Amino acid sequence: MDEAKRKAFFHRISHVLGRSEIPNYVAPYAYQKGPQGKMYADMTQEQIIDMFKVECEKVGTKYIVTDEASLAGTILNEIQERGGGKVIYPCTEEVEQYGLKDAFATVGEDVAHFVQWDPAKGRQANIDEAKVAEIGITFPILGIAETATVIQPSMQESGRSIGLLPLTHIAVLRTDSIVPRMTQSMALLADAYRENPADFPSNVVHISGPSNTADIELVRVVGVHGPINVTFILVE
Amino acid sequence: MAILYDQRPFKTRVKESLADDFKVKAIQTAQDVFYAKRKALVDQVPEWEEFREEAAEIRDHVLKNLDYYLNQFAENAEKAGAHVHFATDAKEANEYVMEVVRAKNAKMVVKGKTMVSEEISLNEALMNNGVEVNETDLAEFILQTADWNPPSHIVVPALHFERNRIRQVFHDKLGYNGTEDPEEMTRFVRKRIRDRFLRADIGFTGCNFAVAETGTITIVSNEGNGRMSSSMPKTMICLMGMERLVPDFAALDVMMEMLVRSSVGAKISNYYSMITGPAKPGECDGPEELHIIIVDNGRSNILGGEFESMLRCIRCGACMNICPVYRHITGHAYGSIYPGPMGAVLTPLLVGYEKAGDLPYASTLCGECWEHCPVKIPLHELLLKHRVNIADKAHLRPAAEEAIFKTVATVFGNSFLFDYGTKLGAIGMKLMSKNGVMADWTKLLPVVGGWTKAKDMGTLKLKKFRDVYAEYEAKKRK
Repeated sequence: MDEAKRKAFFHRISHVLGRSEIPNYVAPYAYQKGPQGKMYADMTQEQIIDMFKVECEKVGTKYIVTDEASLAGTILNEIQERGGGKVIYPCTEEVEQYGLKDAFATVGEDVAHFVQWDPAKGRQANIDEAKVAEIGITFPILGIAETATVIQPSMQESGRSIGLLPLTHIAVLRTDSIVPRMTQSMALLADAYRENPADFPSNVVHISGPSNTADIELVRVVGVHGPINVTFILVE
Repeated sequence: MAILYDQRPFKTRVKESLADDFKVKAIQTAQDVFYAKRKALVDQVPEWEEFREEAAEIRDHVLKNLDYYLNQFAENAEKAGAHVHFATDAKEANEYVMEVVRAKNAKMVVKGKTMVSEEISLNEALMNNGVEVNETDLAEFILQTADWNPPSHIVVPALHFERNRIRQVFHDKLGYNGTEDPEEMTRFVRKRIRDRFLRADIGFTGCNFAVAETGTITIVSNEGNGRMSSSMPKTMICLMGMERLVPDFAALDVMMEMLVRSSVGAKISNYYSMITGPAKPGECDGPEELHIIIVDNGRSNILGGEFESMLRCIRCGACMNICPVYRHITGHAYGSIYPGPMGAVLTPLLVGYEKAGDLPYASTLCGECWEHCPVKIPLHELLLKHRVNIADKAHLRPAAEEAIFKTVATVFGNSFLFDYGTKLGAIGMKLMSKNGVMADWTKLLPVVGGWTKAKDMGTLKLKKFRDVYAEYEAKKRK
């Protein structure tokens, strides 16, 4: 039944396009009119990182520059700055790599209480932790300079909820992963898909600042359904 | 809400809208704000015209090969684990939804913004089956709370509500006791809807662009409700118009460049989600089941015809942010969920001239909509095409029109009658005039009043150019 419906649906489209069936091949669109490939082509990585910072300032997104060695301290400072409380963080390799667990262990319960995302505990337990957390920490894979955007994939080790449910989202981004435009980030995502479609993340979200709205008399209000505060920590 | 939510005559809707000072002012402010913000950004992109060319070409390329790309999309979405359904019309789309609702025994759902759900009257279908519906876009939540008040703009649908009216509605319906401060009211809504997001059985979303190569659907949002609807409920249903496709990820770059700048005058939306299949095994949030319902609902009648370029539309609202007619009559005068120039073209295509034949006349044909359209839809030409089509169909014309045009043809075709007629007209207008313009009382007259109500109308002169020219020629001969 469903198959017959689908056939009829496609037949109607093919018919108005003047053919009897779906073509086997269509020459890919060539992208020759648009300037996107040429834009920012001469910029050095340093200039690209600067553009990211300038755009952050323009739209009012907080960013902090640090290096690998000081990262754990920078994160702890920012947690205090944002008022501490319950903090949820993923179980990705960055946590080990930057020695975050040891650093978190030095913090008193009165300042912050750390919970790690744990796939072994299942869906409800993880969401229940994230929904009462004040702060969520994630490690985006890419940054876009033109719009001060970070790109966050979902995975077993790092759920969608971490950067979505808490009041504050701290995103830790390596500066060498910042590209000028969505042109480059989309090309990288396309490469990843082509290499192994089955491994492509089920959810990839571009985040460009805190959740906001202008639905009431066009007055800008920050913090609707997503985080109210966002901090990007840039690791050099 | 159906495509046409107000069946009263066009003129009645216009009159009512014009009388609502707050609404008209709100729309004008929105136009001015969006215009200025968009212009500031577009001025920074010297290559804007090249982007427009490319965006239009991508859309045309997809439309010309829609069967191919739609099939590719469906195959890849299914490979990623999504269930893909095809719905010919609103009835079929709602049937698919209800199948999922029954299978999941769903009692409560959350909805991100989806125009297709309005097209197919999804809310009514759900509520008739006892399902609690929660709109989660702040503006749509306001409209829902105000007894499903209709939208006045495609991007900011509750513009016609003053903050004190919103406070009153929240107070009366939800027991809100706070102030009319937008931030305080927004926090109230956040708390209320957060609970629904976490408990909902199904999350509904629309789809801004679907990617054929990967089977990905993408959602643009600022508030985060698109992210929530696609992350928290165990079952997700995405409703998409069948033309909403792009070939690959590279096209998303161009489309996002155009969409957000054209829509609200920002470089990018706060959130842009790319969803490829349901959550993978071992993931602890996200939808365990993803259903994508691809809706035709009249689109295949547009494809391949003289209005095909309308299917390029990416629903940015740039045309209504610039339209001088929309500026005065506002979204509600169109009576359609698709207002403004794009709505005046699209609505008659979806519901027919009999029901929406007045809309193509809600335009000065100035062409600003086309110049601001990021995918170069010649909206003013399409509006004119509609008018030509309507004029060709005798039963759609007012009864008196034929008689009037026959008379005009006779008079204009005969120099004696033309001369005599215009002289007579000039005398008549002089009698009805005051200080050289048509007198106030003529506003009450049928036909003539249509002109004199809105502007000062000068009178025809008794001595015409032809008379002056004849005198000049006669003098020269002497």
